Amino acid sequence: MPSIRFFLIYIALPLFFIIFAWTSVGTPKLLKRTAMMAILVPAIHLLFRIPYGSLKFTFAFIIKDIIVFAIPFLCVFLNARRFDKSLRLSRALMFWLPD
Amino acid sequence: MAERYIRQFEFTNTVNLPDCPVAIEKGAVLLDTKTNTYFLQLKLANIGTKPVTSVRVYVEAFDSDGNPAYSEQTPGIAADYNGIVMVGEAFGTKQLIPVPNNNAVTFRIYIEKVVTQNGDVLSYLREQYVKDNAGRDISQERENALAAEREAQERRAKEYKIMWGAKWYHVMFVICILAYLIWCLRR
Repeated sequence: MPSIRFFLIYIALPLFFIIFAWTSVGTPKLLKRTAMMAILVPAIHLLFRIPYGSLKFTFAFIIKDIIVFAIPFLCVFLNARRFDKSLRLSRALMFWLPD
Repeated sequence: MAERYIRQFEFTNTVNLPDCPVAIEKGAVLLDTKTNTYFLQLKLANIGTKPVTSVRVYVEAFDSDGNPAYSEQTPGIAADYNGIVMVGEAFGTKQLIPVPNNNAVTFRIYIEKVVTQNGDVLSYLREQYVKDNAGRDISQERENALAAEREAQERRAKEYKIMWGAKWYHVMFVICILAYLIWCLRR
Protein backbone atom coordinates (compact mmCIF):
# COMPACT_ATOMS: atom_id res chain seq x y z
CA MET A 1 0.00 0.00 0.00
CA PRO A 2 1.60 3.26 -1.04
CA SER A 3 2.19 5.84 1.65
CA ILE A 4 0.47 9.24 1.66
CA ARG A 5 3.70 10.96 0.66
CA PHE A 6 4.16 8.58 -2.24
CA PHE A 7 0.56 9.15 -3.26
CA LEU A 8 0.86 12.96 -3.10
CA ILE A 9 4.18 13.30 -4.91
CA TYR A 10 4.01 10.51 -7.44
CA ILE A 11 0.27 10.17 -8.11
CA ALA A 12 -1.71 13.27 -7.13
CA LEU A 13 0.79 15.91 -8.25
CA PRO A 14 1.42 14.50 -11.76
CA LEU A 15 -2.29 13.79 -12.21
CA PHE A 16 -3.11 17.35 -11.16
CA PHE A 17 -0.73 18.76 -13.78
CA ILE A 18 -1.99 16.43 -16.51
CA ILE A 19 -5.64 17.26 -15.81
CA PHE A 20 -4.81 20.96 -15.46
CA ALA A 21 -3.31 20.85 -18.96
CA TRP A 22 -6.11 18.64 -20.28
CA THR A 23 -8.79 21.16 -19.24
CA SER A 24 -7.21 23.78 -21.51
CA VAL A 25 -7.60 21.77 -24.70
CA GLY A 26 -9.09 24.19 -27.24
CA THR A 27 -7.18 27.24 -26.05
CA PRO A 28 -3.54 28.39 -26.50
CA LYS A 29 -3.09 27.91 -22.72
CA LEU A 30 -2.56 24.25 -23.57
CA LEU A 31 1.01 24.83 -24.71
CA LYS A 32 1.85 26.78 -21.57
CA ARG A 33 0.32 24.21 -19.26
CA THR A 34 1.93 21.21 -20.95
CA ALA A 35 5.28 23.06 -20.73
CA MET A 36 4.59 23.63 -17.04
CA MET A 37 3.90 19.92 -16.62
CA ALA A 38 7.02 18.91 -18.59
CA ILE A 39 9.26 21.05 -16.38
CA LEU A 40 7.69 21.11 -12.93
CA VAL A 41 6.81 17.43 -12.45
CA PRO A 42 10.34 16.07 -13.12
CA ALA A 43 11.82 19.00 -11.14
CA ILE A 44 9.64 18.30 -8.08
CA HIS A 45 10.35 14.57 -8.32
CA LEU A 46 14.05 15.32 -8.54
CA LEU A 47 13.88 17.45 -5.41
CA PHE A 48 12.27 14.64 -3.46
CA ARG A 49 14.51 11.91 -4.87
CA ILE A 50 17.94 13.50 -4.40
CA PRO A 51 18.11 13.01 -0.62
CA TYR A 52 17.02 9.38 -0.93
CA GLY A 53 17.91 6.52 -3.24
CA SER A 54 20.99 6.00 -5.33
CA LEU A 55 22.13 8.55 -7.88
CA LYS A 56 21.87 6.04 -10.72
CA PHE A 57 18.31 5.11 -9.79
CA THR A 58 17.33 8.78 -9.39
CA PHE A 59 18.82 9.60 -12.78
CA ALA A 60 16.92 6.75 -14.49
CA PHE A 61 13.70 7.80 -12.76
CA ILE A 62 14.04 11.42 -13.82
CA ILE A 63 14.82 10.48 -17.42
CA LYS A 64 11.65 8.37 -17.56
CA ASP A 65 9.75 11.24 -15.94
CA ILE A 66 11.02 13.71 -18.51
CA ILE A 67 10.08 11.38 -21.37
CA VAL A 68 6.56 10.75 -20.07
CA PHE A 69 5.76 14.40 -19.32
CA ALA A 70 7.58 15.91 -22.28
CA ILE A 71 5.68 13.82 -24.85
CA PRO A 72 2.36 15.74 -24.48
CA PHE A 73 4.23 19.04 -24.62
CA LEU A 74 6.16 18.03 -27.72
CA CYS A 75 3.00 16.74 -29.44
CA VAL A 76 1.18 20.01 -28.77
CA PHE A 77 4.19 22.10 -29.73
CA LEU A 78 4.87 20.27 -33.01
CA ASN A 79 1.20 20.32 -33.96
CA ALA A 80 0.91 24.06 -33.24
CA ARG A 81 4.13 24.77 -35.09
CA ARG A 82 2.67 23.30 -38.27
CA PHE A 83 0.45 26.38 -38.45
CA ASP A 84 2.57 28.97 -36.65
CA LYS A 85 6.18 28.83 -37.75
CA SER A 86 7.12 31.65 -35.39
CA LEU A 87 6.80 29.34 -32.36
CA ARG A 88 10.16 28.51 -30.78
CA LEU A 89 10.79 25.53 -28.51
CA SER A 90 12.86 27.50 -26.01
CA ARG A 91 10.21 30.25 -25.79
CA ALA A 92 7.40 27.72 -25.54
CA LEU A 93 9.10 26.05 -22.56
CA MET A 94 9.24 29.36 -20.66
CA PHE A 95 5.73 29.01 -19.30
CA TRP A 96 6.28 31.71 -16.69
CA LEU A 97 6.67 34.46 -19.30
CA PRO A 98 3.57 36.41 -20.36
CA ASP A 99 2.17 35.83 -23.88
CA MET B 1 -30.52 63.92 -42.19
CA ALA B 2 -32.66 63.08 -45.18
CA GLU B 3 -34.85 66.12 -44.56
CA ARG B 4 -32.09 68.57 -43.83
CA TYR B 5 -29.71 67.59 -46.63
CA ILE B 6 -30.75 67.46 -50.27
CA ARG B 7 -28.63 65.44 -52.64
CA GLN B 8 -27.62 67.66 -55.55
CA PHE B 9 -25.87 65.03 -57.64
CA GLU B 10 -23.72 61.95 -57.38
CA PHE B 11 -20.32 61.45 -58.91
CA THR B 12 -17.58 58.87 -59.23
CA ASN B 13 -13.87 59.36 -58.89
CA THR B 14 -11.99 60.17 -62.09
CA VAL B 15 -8.60 58.97 -60.90
CA ASN B 16 -7.61 55.46 -60.00
CA LEU B 17 -4.89 53.65 -58.09
CA PRO B 18 -5.44 49.88 -58.11
CA ASP B 19 -2.73 49.23 -55.47
CA CYS B 20 -4.47 51.33 -52.83
CA PRO B 21 -6.47 49.28 -50.27
CA VAL B 22 -9.06 52.05 -49.91
CA ALA B 23 -11.10 53.34 -52.84
CA ILE B 24 -13.90 55.82 -53.40
CA GLU B 25 -17.08 53.91 -54.17
CA LYS B 26 -19.05 57.04 -54.95
CA GLY B 27 -19.58 60.58 -53.81
CA ALA B 28 -22.35 63.13 -53.63
CA VAL B 29 -22.77 66.85 -53.22
CA LEU B 30 -25.35 67.71 -50.56
CA LEU B 31 -27.11 70.97 -49.83
CA ASP B 32 -27.71 71.78 -46.21
CA THR B 33 -31.10 73.45 -46.28
CA LYS B 34 -30.67 74.86 -42.80
CA THR B 35 -27.48 76.82 -43.46
CA ASN B 36 -27.66 76.88 -47.28
CA THR B 37 -24.15 75.48 -47.56
CA TYR B 38 -22.78 72.58 -49.56
CA PHE B 39 -21.06 69.45 -48.42
CA LEU B 40 -19.26 66.59 -50.05
CA GLN B 41 -20.24 63.13 -48.94
CA LEU B 42 -17.83 60.34 -49.85
CA LYS B 43 -18.43 56.64 -49.62
CA LEU B 44 -15.09 54.94 -49.19
CA ALA B 45 -14.49 51.21 -49.19
CA ASN B 46 -11.81 49.07 -47.61
CA ILE B 47 -10.99 46.67 -50.43
CA GLY B 48 -7.62 45.60 -49.03
CA THR B 49 -6.72 42.65 -46.85
CA LYS B 50 -6.30 44.39 -43.48
CA PRO B 51 -8.55 46.57 -41.32
CA VAL B 52 -7.70 50.27 -41.54
CA THR B 53 -7.79 52.84 -38.75
CA SER B 54 -7.17 56.12 -40.53
CA VAL B 55 -7.47 57.42 -44.08
CA ARG B 56 -6.51 60.81 -45.48
CA VAL B 57 -8.18 61.91 -48.70
CA TYR B 58 -7.42 64.85 -50.89
CA VAL B 59 -10.17 66.22 -53.13
CA GLU B 60 -9.66 68.26 -56.25
CA ALA B 61 -12.82 69.56 -57.89
CA PHE B 62 -13.23 71.12 -61.31
CA ASP B 63 -16.02 73.07 -62.92
CA SER B 64 -17.43 72.53 -66.41
CA ASP B 65 -14.57 74.55 -67.94
CA GLY B 66 -11.93 72.41 -66.22
CA ASN B 67 -10.92 75.12 -63.77
CA PRO B 68 -10.62 74.48 -60.02
CA ALA B 69 -14.13 74.74 -58.63
CA TYR B 70 -13.19 75.70 -55.10
CA SER B 71 -10.85 78.61 -55.78
CA GLU B 72 -10.69 79.53 -52.10
CA GLN B 73 -9.29 76.13 -51.31
CA THR B 74 -6.93 75.66 -54.23
CA PRO B 75 -5.34 73.30 -54.89
CA GLY B 76 -7.75 71.02 -52.98
CA ILE B 77 -9.41 69.92 -49.79
CA ALA B 78 -7.94 67.40 -47.37
CA ALA B 79 -10.04 65.31 -45.02
CA ASP B 80 -9.24 62.63 -42.48
CA TYR B 81 -11.37 59.63 -41.70
CA ASN B 82 -10.57 57.98 -38.39
CA GLY B 83 -11.99 54.79 -36.96
CA ILE B 84 -11.56 51.08 -37.44
CA VAL B 85 -12.92 49.83 -40.74
CA MET B 86 -12.91 46.10 -41.32
CA VAL B 87 -12.09 44.50 -44.65
CA GLY B 88 -14.97 44.81 -47.12
CA GLU B 89 -16.77 47.56 -45.17
CA ALA B 90 -17.84 50.93 -46.54
CA PHE B 91 -17.31 54.07 -44.50
CA GLY B 92 -17.18 57.85 -44.63
CA THR B 93 -20.80 58.64 -45.44
CA LYS B 94 -21.44 60.10 -42.00
CA GLN B 95 -18.58 62.58 -42.32
CA LEU B 96 -19.46 65.56 -44.47
CA ILE B 97 -16.77 67.79 -45.98
CA PRO B 98 -17.81 71.44 -46.29
CA VAL B 99 -17.29 72.97 -49.73
CA PRO B 100 -17.82 76.62 -50.73
CA ASN B 101 -20.15 76.18 -53.74
CA ASN B 102 -21.91 73.79 -56.06
CA ASN B 103 -19.85 74.59 -59.18
CA ALA B 104 -17.89 71.34 -59.28
CA VAL B 105 -18.66 68.87 -62.03
CA THR B 106 -15.77 66.43 -61.90
CA PHE B 107 -13.77 65.25 -58.94
CA ARG B 108 -10.34 63.77 -58.50
CA ILE B 109 -10.14 62.17 -55.12
CA TYR B 110 -6.78 60.88 -53.98
CA ILE B 111 -6.23 58.57 -51.04
CA GLU B 112 -3.00 60.01 -49.71
CA LYS B 113 -2.45 58.00 -46.57
CA VAL B 114 -3.85 54.80 -45.12
CA VAL B 115 -2.99 53.51 -41.65
CA THR B 116 -3.74 49.83 -41.13
CA GLN B 117 -4.74 48.29 -37.81
CA ASN B 118 -1.28 46.79 -37.31
CA GLY B 119 0.30 50.24 -37.59
CA ASP B 120 1.54 50.17 -41.18
CA VAL B 121 1.37 53.59 -42.82
CA LEU B 122 0.82 53.45 -46.56
CA SER B 123 1.43 56.69 -48.43
CA TYR B 124 0.49 57.34 -52.03
CA LEU B 125 1.62 60.22 -54.19
CA ARG B 126 -0.89 61.96 -56.40
CA GLU B 127 1.45 61.34 -59.33
CA GLN B 128 0.94 57.59 -58.91
CA TYR B 129 -2.73 57.89 -59.81
CA VAL B 130 -3.91 57.26 -63.32
CA LYS B 131 -6.86 59.05 -64.88
CA ASP B 132 -9.96 57.25 -66.08
CA ASN B 133 -11.66 55.15 -63.49
CA ALA B 134 -14.06 53.61 -66.01
CA GLY B 135 -14.67 49.91 -65.72
CA ARG B 136 -13.78 49.70 -62.05
CA ASP B 137 -16.66 48.47 -59.94
CA ILE B 138 -15.65 49.35 -56.38
CA SER B 139 -18.79 47.89 -54.80
CA GLN B 140 -18.04 44.56 -56.49
CA GLU B 141 -14.42 44.76 -55.33
CA ARG B 142 -15.66 45.45 -51.81
CA GLU B 143 -17.91 42.41 -51.92
CA ASN B 144 -15.01 40.32 -53.22
CA ALA B 145 -12.79 41.60 -50.40
CA LEU B 146 -15.51 40.78 -47.88
CA ALA B 147 -15.94 37.26 -49.29
CA ALA B 148 -12.16 36.72 -49.25
CA GLU B 149 -11.98 37.94 -45.66
CA ARG B 150 -14.82 35.61 -44.60
CA GLU B 151 -13.03 32.72 -46.27
CA ALA B 152 -9.76 33.64 -44.54
CA GLN B 153 -11.58 33.87 -41.18
CA GLU B 154 -13.09 30.42 -41.68
CA ARG B 155 -9.67 29.03 -42.57
CA ARG B 156 -8.11 30.66 -39.48
CA ALA B 157 -10.89 29.26 -37.28
CA LYS B 158 -10.27 25.76 -38.64
CA GLU B 159 -6.52 26.11 -38.11
CA TYR B 160 -7.10 27.33 -34.55
CA LYS B 161 -9.29 24.33 -33.85
CA ILE B 162 -6.70 21.91 -35.19
CA MET B 163 -3.89 23.75 -33.38
CA TRP B 164 -5.37 23.88 -29.91
CA GLY B 165 -8.46 21.70 -29.91
CA ALA B 166 -7.58 18.58 -31.87
CA LYS B 167 -9.52 15.52 -30.70
CA TRP B 168 -6.40 13.40 -30.51
CA TYR B 169 -5.16 15.59 -27.63
CA HIS B 170 -7.72 13.88 -25.42
CA VAL B 171 -6.45 10.45 -26.47
CA MET B 172 -2.91 11.63 -25.78
CA PHE B 173 -3.78 12.75 -22.25
CA VAL B 174 -5.60 9.50 -21.49
CA ILE B 175 -2.61 7.48 -22.71
CA CYS B 176 -0.27 9.73 -20.71
CA ILE B 177 -2.24 9.17 -17.49
CA LEU B 178 -2.55 5.42 -18.01
CA ALA B 179 1.10 5.01 -18.98
CA TYR B 180 2.26 7.00 -15.96
CA LEU B 181 0.00 5.19 -13.51
CA ILE B 182 0.97 1.75 -14.83
CA TRP B 183 4.67 2.65 -14.72
CA CYS B 184 4.41 4.15 -11.24
CA LEU B 185 2.27 1.51 -9.56
CA ARG B 186 4.20 -1.43 -11.02
CA ARG B 187 7.30 -0.35 -9.16
